[in-house]
Amino acid sequence: MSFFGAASTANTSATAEKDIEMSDPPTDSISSMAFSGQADYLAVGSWDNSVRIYEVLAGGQTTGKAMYQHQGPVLSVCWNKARNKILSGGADNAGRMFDVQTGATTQVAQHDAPIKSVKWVDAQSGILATGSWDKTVKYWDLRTPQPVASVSLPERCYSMDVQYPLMVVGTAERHIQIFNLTNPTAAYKTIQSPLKWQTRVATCFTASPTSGFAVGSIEGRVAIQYVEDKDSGNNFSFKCHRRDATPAAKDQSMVYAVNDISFHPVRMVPYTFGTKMLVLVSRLLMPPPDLSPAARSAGLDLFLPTPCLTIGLKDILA
Amino acid sequence: MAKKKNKQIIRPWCWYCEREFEDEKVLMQHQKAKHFKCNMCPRRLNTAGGLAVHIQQVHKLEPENLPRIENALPGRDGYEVEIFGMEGIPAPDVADYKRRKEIELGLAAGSISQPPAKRPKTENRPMSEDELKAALDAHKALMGAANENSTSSAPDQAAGGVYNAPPQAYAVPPTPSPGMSLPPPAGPPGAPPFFPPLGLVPGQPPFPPFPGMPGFPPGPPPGFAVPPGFPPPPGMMPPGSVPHPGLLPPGAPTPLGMPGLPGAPARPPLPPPPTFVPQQGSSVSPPIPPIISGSSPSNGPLATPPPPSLSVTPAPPSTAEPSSHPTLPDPSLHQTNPPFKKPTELKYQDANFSPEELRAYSHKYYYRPSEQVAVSNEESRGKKRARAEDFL
Repeated sequence: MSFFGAASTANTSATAEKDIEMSDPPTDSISSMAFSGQADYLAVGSWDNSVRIYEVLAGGQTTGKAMYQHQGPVLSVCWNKARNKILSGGADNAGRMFDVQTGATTQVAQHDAPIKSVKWVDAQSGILATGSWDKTVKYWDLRTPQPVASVSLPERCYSMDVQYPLMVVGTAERHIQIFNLTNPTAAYKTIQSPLKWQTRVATCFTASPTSGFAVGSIEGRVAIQYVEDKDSGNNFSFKCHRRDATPAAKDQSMVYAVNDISFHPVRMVPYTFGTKMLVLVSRLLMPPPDLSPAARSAGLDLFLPTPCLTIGLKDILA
Repeated sequence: MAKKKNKQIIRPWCWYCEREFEDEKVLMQHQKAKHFKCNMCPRRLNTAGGLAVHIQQVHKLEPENLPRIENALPGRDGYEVEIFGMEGIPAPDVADYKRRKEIELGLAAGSISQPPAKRPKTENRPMSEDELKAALDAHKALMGAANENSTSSAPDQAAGGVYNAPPQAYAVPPTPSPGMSLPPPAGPPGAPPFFPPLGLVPGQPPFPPFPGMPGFPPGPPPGFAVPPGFPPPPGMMPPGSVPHPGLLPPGAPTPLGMPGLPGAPARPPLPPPPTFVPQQGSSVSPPIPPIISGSSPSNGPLATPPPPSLSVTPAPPSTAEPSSHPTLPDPSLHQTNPPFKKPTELKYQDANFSPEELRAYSHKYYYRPSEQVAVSNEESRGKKRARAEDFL
């Protein structure tokens, strides 16, 4: 029977074949990415101070289209509603706007500390919300150098997400602020994170009357939280991004941070991205992951694992 | 695991007739029915030896008169080899069969017959900066050596073709491309064309002598704060200006110098955009301080001054050694992780700072607003330059 002990190397990479490496990736770790959703364009922010724009071709190959620079590492990128501008914020305390039609970059936001998150608010003629480690969220209308409004947070902004009219901001010290963007200057609600560890990410569900959000912590755990108290019975949390210390011990004692959470735009299923692992969360009925153009154009940034912590896409590819 | 995989490739097979079977049970049934069946009575035996004894004792045949084993390949119809399912097959025959199987399946020689490569040991710690760099170097050297001229490294070619290609859907003027920091057509890894370190080559013709330049990271020169709405962003010249793809290092101060320097276009097309060759900096600059700050000596949050929340300009303790660790704005709010119920290895343990904060405050990424840099002394600029080079 020793014969069966011999394994073959064939067919081990069946799943890997579905992944496509990007050509000329950023030169340092990737901090943030955003799909245009209208065309197959992908904006990628990196720790090498740059934002690169790639076109994703039909076969899944990518070609670089443009690039612009921050003065410090880029921490967040997003698109505007019309999908003709890219907004980004970085460690240079600045928010910048790149016009994909003219190729011009302008600085549109300024904070006193690095901007951790930029989000487009689809209200009025479009507002840029920037969350920063200077403990504020500022709203910008992109035409004036002064913010339209500024809100102080209890702590440094670690994560922010918008599904108009809901905005959720996760900060240091486990505060979570919920905004109703019809009244953007005051928090609709401030809660302590349902998780006991540092908040890593907060992501809104797709906009819906019973909207809520998911919170991920550094301790491999995700909480699903509803905004209204009447729905609080539906709140729950689950563990993920864990591994056994040794394959023999089923202890799941190696615990990774949940670095990002995305919701499937149609099925509302959360996907979580941890260090080293991409976990499809099964709690809300698991769909098969699909990479169809339709899914992408629905504004989905999912299937590219948003950055592993210190090892970004580039490092994995190198 | 290995067993299972292998089964898909090599299934149980009968030594006598080299037929394959789904599993050993079927194989043994086959052997009983086809090869170990007594042809004088309906009796089926389990092995060739059993058959021989049966024929001798029940049918009183002399050992030398035993019939050959039925349905067997020539040379395999004897009783000498005791076969039971897959057991007992002579090793040379196993090897031979595997080799033929490999050829048939189009697999690489040895892929079946050799023991599987041990799964490489994966360590669960992140690679250190040095290791990453070394790996990248090795890769670059490999790529460069493999194909010197045309596609010295795949990214090059692709990048060059891509970013200098006419933009398609975007009406982006060609100027963005110079801003793209492409890997250079990295020639010999030892002497990559690099954004000329002005510290060494002062007054090099193409560049106006910016005294501060060596200290500048990519991006607009820190001396010039980009006011909101300031039109020419680094590497993004207004559409009117002459595009020089490949000539302008990204974010190099040249754009600003350009207006007064019409000669620049005539510059020999040598220094391709700055490069990713990491080694470069080390010869020019002081050794790079360790970057990861998780282990930074500042245990107490009070040890290092710049509170991330307080200021645009967290004043570093000394100009030469900017803080590598953020400090809590309010130490009284220091957080601790709650205890675990069972032994747990939490991969990221800092309760007070996010990974991004620690990283952004590390030496490599620490961003000092421009005013600070402008007033700081030459030495610290050199230091900063070193970091910038390092990361390029």
